[in-house]
Amino acid sequence: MANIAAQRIRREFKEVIKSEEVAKCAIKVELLNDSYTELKGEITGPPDTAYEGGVFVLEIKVPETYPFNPPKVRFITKIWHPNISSVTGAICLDILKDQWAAAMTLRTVLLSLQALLSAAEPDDPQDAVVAKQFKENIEMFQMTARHWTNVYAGGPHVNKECDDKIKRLVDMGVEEHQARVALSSYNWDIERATEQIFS
Amino acid sequence: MSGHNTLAQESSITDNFSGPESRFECPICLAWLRDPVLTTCGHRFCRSCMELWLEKENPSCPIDNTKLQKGVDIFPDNFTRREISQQKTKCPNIAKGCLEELSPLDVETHLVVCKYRPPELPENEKLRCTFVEFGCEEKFEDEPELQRHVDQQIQKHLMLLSRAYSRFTISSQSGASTSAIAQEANFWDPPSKNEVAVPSNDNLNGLLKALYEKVVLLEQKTREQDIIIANMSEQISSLNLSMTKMHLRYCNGCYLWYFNEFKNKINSMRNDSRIMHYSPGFYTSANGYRLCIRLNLSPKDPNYVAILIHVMKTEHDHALDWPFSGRLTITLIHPTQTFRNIKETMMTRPELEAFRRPVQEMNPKGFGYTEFALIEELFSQGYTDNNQLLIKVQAQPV
Repeated sequence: MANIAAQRIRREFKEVIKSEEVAKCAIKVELLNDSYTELKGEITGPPDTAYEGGVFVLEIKVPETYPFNPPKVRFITKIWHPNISSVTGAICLDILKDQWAAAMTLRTVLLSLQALLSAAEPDDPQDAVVAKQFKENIEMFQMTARHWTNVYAGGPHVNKECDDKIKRLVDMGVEEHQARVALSSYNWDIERATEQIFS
Repeated sequence: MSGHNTLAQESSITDNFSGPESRFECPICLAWLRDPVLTTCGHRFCRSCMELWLEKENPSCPIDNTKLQKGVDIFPDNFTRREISQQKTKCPNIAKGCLEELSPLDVETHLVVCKYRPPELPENEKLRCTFVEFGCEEKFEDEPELQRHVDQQIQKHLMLLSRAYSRFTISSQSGASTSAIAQEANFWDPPSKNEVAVPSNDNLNGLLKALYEKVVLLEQKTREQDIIIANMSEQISSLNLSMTKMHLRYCNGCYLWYFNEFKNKINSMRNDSRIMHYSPGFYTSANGYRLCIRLNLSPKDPNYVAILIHVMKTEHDHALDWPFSGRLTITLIHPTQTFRNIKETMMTRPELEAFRRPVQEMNPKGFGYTEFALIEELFSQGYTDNNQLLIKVQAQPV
């Protein structure tokens, strides 16, 4: 790894650790290897959003050309959000692509992701299904996002209705996550979800 | 992809030891500005960092996104370069004797050649943490480093110590008590007739040690129990005290005063007419007036006892109506014959000073009968049972 990249991550790492967001447990970064190329990030769901109370784990890969190119970041924790793929966790955020600037840091990236959670951009989607639901039925979207936060990110809001519908599909032999994706995609209409799975 | 407006604000590193001041820091490599350049939008970068950044398509300033053109918008910042070269910092090996003062840019190159550079000690010559026995695996190059570690890791070391301690107490308890009991049992067994019944010295020593340990444990236990008992008796006495207080407070204006050692007290009052006896203060209701009974010899005729009632101060006097007005009944109770009870009822009189709001703990003026009963009669007609006189006062405010 280029010297400048490792040295910068080392300095940034200290910055994140000392930042007040870490003190407030809003963001966290951990090293995964000694060469500073792979890191694990964590952000908490912003208050007053469907993601509130959840902890979302991120994979951060630092390229050799860092900081002249952005770090590669994706969600490990499954999340229901118009700008994040519900399948791969890939993120659509300008600063992680063409709007990257060398003066940005791990801390600002994590804070920007947190901001993305509270302000989705459905007109520039990463996940078309989620974005469609967001635009057409915002309440359905909120409920689904809250349910995903509860199941995958440890959020506090248990939705018994969702759990029951998933259980019915699971009882038919469908894998739980597949059932959740199908139901989420069809606005929790169990018949259409079943049709989609078995067609 | 259109721009999301999700840019967060950057803040500089504030680590006095490792990082430069923000005005001398390159926002790209986060190190001291090396060969600084200035952009037209007024931001400083290392020359090499900026050159690399400008190789991108449509480059813009990493700080504020202003479009930048290579060779046009970038200027050498010789002012900052001079300032940085004047910032002398001390070699990090100063503690080991290096007195070199360098520009921050030269520190790294100097460190490689610094003759005070500590030699890498082989693993086995490094200093071990003083808490190594308790599980701290850290190793150090020199004494001050070790000292720093010991100072900073108090919490961790305490945890290790407490863990070791709990292991120690568990093993010593189980070990000591069982072996002591076993050895004691051996000791008290009648010696077998065939063998020479002299326990070896080793055995005796072991037994003594075990017994001693047991004594210590028992002593410890006794001490703990003593403390518990002391605490409990303190609690009980404070409870008793509050019970008495409750009793006086919630008697509803009907108080029984057991006047003990009547004879001795009468005698002493005869010798000294200034002696007076007062009952504890009781309340007409939980938040009512507080009164007490006074008993002394009549100043006019010392053959009579005087019984009077005094108004006492309370913490809620301001919430009561003054002067106190109501009905007061004093009864001298005969222990066996009810018809002999001496009962006097009186109404308060608002013009008397005795019923005004007390300014001292007790209103100095009382109200009652200075010649309530003839002392002779009290004795001869059997009012004093067990050398005790019983006076009942009922007070009802109206």
